[in-house]
Amino acid sequence: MTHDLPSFNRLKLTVWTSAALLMAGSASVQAQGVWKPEKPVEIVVGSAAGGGNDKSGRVLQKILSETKSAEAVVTNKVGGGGAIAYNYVSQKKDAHVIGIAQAGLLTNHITGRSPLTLSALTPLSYVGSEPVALTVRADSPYKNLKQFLDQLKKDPTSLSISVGSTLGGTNHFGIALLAKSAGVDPKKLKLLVFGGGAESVTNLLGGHIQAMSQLVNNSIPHQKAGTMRILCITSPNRLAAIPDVPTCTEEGAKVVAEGWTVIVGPKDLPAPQVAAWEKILLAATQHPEWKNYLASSGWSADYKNAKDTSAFLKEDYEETKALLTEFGLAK
Amino acid sequence: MEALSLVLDGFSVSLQPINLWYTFIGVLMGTVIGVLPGIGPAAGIALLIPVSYGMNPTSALIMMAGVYYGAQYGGSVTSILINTPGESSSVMTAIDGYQMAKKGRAGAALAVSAWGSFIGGTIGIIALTLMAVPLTKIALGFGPPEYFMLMALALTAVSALTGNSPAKGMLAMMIGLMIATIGTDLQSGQMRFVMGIPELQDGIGFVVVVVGLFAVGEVFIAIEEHFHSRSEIFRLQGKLMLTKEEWRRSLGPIGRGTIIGFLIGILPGAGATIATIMSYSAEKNMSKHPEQFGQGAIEGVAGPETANNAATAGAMVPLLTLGVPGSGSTAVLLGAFVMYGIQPGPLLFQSRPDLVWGLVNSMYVGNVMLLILNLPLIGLFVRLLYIPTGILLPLVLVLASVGIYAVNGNIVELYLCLLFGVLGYAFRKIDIPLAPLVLALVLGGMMEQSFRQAMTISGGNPKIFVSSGLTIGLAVISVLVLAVKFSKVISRRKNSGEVKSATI
Repeated sequence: MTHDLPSFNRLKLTVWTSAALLMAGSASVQAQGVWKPEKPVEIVVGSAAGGGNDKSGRVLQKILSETKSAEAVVTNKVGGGGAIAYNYVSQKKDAHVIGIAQAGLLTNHITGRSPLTLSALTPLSYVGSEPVALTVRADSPYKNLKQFLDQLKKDPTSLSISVGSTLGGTNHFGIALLAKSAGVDPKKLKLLVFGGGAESVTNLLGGHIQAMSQLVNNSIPHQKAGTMRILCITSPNRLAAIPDVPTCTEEGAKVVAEGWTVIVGPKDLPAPQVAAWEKILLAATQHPEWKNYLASSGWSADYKNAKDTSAFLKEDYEETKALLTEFGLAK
Repeated sequence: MEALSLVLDGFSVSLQPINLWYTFIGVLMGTVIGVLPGIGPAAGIALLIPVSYGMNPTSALIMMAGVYYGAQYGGSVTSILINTPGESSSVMTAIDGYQMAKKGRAGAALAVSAWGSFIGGTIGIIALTLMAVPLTKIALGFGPPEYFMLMALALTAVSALTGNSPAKGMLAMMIGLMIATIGTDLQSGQMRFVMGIPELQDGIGFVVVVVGLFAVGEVFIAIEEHFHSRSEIFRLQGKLMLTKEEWRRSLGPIGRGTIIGFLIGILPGAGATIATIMSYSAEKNMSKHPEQFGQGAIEGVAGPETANNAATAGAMVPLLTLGVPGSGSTAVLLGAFVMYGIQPGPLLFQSRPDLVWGLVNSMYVGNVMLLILNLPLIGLFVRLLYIPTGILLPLVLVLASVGIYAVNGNIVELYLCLLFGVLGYAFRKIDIPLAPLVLALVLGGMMEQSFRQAMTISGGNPKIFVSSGLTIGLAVISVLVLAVKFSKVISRRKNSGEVKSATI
């Protein structure tokens, strides 16, 4: 009995090793081919239901199910300026989990809020960008950007400006770069932080602040209703949704500061999975539902594949770091 | 006011059989969600969004709105019966509602909740219909200084909640304020008391604290009582529904609750929870028998329950007139609007009157349905009291845990909930009141941010806090409330002094 065991163990060892090799072999065979989602896909968003990325996530979910590319589910992982969501995606094993990322991905690391770096995620595609709009109330004495900046030149603290829900975000960069272009020190500006775009809107309409620097989707309905005036938008071109609104470059301040949205996947995804998502996402961004969503939110339609997105993110990281260091927010 | 014809046209939309059906589903779901601790209307509405993709947008929004105000009806059930608020807006109801249940008046408490909710909700919608635009102007007048003064007024309510020992109440309030500071400070971007835990960077959720302190804490207390054989079943006494006397006492609070609730509801940022706090404190201050509050005064249930439903109607005002969400739930509704390609904003009334009035008018129908649903169910709900604690307690614990986890899928929140449960147990043993902690937690964050925003705007000049009609008005009311309190304290001391001298 006892001297049977070693041979029995050797047999077991051989069987298991060959089984493992076979499985590994078949897995690598699969990796050479085309990858397709085999189970429901998770779209992870870092905001609560109804907030920022959640809306994009749900539109994407709808498109994916309509085009039968994948069955998708939106998962909300709130907290840490998106850090919790990005962490969650980073640790998953394959491309059945994707996340929607915005500037917080970079700023979290620069400000020391999260240890997660760009290398912990695989960029899949760049799907759109949204400019910042410098907006005043319709009855404001400042009819264009030049008048506004002139006032700031006279006294940088004379106007209360909201930058939305966080310092060091795209909204902040928008107004800071505009101020810099006029020779005003952005650190002297009187900037307020509210809980979100909605609070900026009510405070501006109520006359408690004089201007807001927010992503343009907050201002579009009010511009159309005539209660607010967008002085300029920080995109390279005018937006179809508001064709009468000039870009800041047209108004004399060469500032382009856009909030971008990128789809990311878990760490070190293999090439076939990345390619599969590139195809799906490219098709999604050309779907009429997506175009409608962009138009109503003031986004610019823009697509970059994984390689270009990766290069873009690296460049944006350096630029953002430089700005945040200037404002004393970098760690 | 919009042309009456448009309003009446809305009824032709809301009374269609398919929309009646969706209203029913919405309010039913809302009631269930309200009863379940932890999970709130925001999460419920978010769950419905993918389900509703193929639907007509008006019908889908009617259903989601039904979940929103339906939840305010359901939240009172568990508050009253087992002292575990289902929503943060049901916390005030638990204070006196549970005491009423202990005295055998659970049915009456549930009945006054249902009636108050119905009256508050319906009158709120009427006010919304008639005065949406002028009300929006008032709401816009609230900037950081006005919000700060409002919070200061709400803080005077803490005196109504401290019970027997003001010192213990103050302690609870300080702890609540401290908890409110945890997280990332908005104005400076600095992280406070985060202790390296990323999940704390956005602060501790209010619902986690409430469910922990009340639901889990109650479970621990009940376990202890069970093992000391001290737990008793609360037998119902007297009439299941309201007696004439109870009706008479409730009418005033219902009326006042409607006004307070609706006005606070229209302010973005202040919501149903603050409305219930203000209503409770107003009722206690105006009552001829303030010592009954905390022991089962029906006014303490009627007022807050009416206020939270009126506040829900009020929260629809900024949503529909400006496209600005006032709370988490309305933010999800706003997201749903955008999903259907409807651009909410100042032009919504002009561009989609059928949608707006269909939605608003469905709320009348929904409130009637909820009243019809809830009143007969009272007989069923009170049977909950007869479930043996051995079955009830684990059930509460499971529901609370699932409810908390379902919102964010975050295990850290469950740990926090447990921690607060232990805290709630300890507080109850040392007789420290829980309500001031809740109050301070709700108000603290907003008060601090508003104060600093106001000071930034004024460049450090404190005169901004008495610079507008609203701030002066709020300051005057706060001073009056405090003055009345002090005079009562002084006269009570004088009276007891006279008694002493008489016995010598």
